[in-house]
Amino acid sequence: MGKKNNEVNDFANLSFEQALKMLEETVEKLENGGLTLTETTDIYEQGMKLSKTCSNMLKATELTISKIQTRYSDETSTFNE
Amino acid sequence: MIYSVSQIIAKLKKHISQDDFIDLWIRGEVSNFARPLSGHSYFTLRDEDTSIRCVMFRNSLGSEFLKDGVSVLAHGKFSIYQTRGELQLIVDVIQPEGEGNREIEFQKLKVKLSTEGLFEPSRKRILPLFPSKIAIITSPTGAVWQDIQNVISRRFPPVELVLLPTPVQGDIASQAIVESFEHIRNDPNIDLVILARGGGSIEDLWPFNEENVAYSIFRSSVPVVSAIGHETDITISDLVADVRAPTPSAAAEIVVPNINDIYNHISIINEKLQNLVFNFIYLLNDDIDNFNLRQKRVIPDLDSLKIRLGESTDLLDTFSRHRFQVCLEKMTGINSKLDSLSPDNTLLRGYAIVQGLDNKIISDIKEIHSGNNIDVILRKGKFSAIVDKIKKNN
Repeated sequence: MGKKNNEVNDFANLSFEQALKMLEETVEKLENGGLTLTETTDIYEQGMKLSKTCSNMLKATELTISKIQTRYSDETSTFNE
Repeated sequence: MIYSVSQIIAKLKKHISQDDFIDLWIRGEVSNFARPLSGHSYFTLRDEDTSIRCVMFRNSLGSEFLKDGVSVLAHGKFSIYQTRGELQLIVDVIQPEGEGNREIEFQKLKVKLSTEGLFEPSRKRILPLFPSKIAIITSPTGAVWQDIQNVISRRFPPVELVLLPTPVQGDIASQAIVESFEHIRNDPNIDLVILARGGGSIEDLWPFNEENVAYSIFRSSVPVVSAIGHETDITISDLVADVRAPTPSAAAEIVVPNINDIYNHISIINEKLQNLVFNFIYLLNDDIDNFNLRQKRVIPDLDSLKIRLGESTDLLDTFSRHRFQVCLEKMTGINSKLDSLSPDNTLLRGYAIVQGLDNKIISDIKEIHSGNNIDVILRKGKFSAIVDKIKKNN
């Protein structure tokens, strides 16, 4: 129980790039073979979780936009482009 | 007196058509040079502080010397373009006067920075595949900022864009760009930065040829994508940047992947995962089947074995009984032979056995002498005797 929760949390802390890389690695592990049934199902389960994590990370449909205040942030007149 | 616009422009035009303005030699640097299909040349002539629009009609003398950044002596006259009320110099002769100051400055700085290794391909950083926070150094009011937002929002929405409002032309621009790079250094979550500006004249783009901007790009804490002016404009900033994009929109395309490609990639991986596991289980089933088959082969069918065992026992039984019979018969034969050969039977037939003193059987006449005591064994008993006469056969 504790272990599974940790796993989910671990995935939540991953960057998208890391999660995708781990996902690709699960496929590699399965492709290399030589695994027991338990190992195979564990890896498969992990792969499915990672895949879900990746998909969730992509779910944002709108850009997040922010500004860093610069000395020129309010002087719109200086931006005579 | 009140003039209409046309009236006052016409009056001005007439005023500058006088001697003072119709036979002039002017020294300046060429910029914004363009020659459309008409063959006429349009450019700006400028010095440090001021510029003037110029037109040079097709086949005028020296038009081949026109090029952005060159210093020239231009001969011509002033005129006002009536429709727009614009003052312009109509040039009829151009003489080259060495390279312009900006061009010289540009080349000097390029050589210097190149020697210092700022353009080295080996120091160009690779852009992150999936940036989550992208900084944009540009003007907040221009189309560039809008274009970048549009492209990224279409291609890959799950990112954060951080705008650093920065003037991108004029005297304050280079210092402002340097400061924006310093702000980026303070945010460790920023993955990369786009330094962008829309198209403009050489003067407009000049801040991107400044040394301090070049060093800022070089020392940036994250990879820099430059997108300055049009594709044909190459600034020092473009040369130092890790990646040069031809336009701001192109920069936005470069820095993020297409989200649909990523979704496809993930679904292909999912499919692969499933196939691999199904295949594994399928093979496992196969193994189990094979194992069962092997087991059947290794552990024989007990019933048939019992039958075979029974058969064998029967066979053995028959066989051994037969052997026994044969043996028994042989034994009887041997016994009767033995019987017939036994001394008893011999005695029965009338023979006698002669024994010497030591009970040694005497079978040859040579072993006996007259006067010897002997025992003679007959059937059912024996007697003792003394040898009287000896008669040997020949």
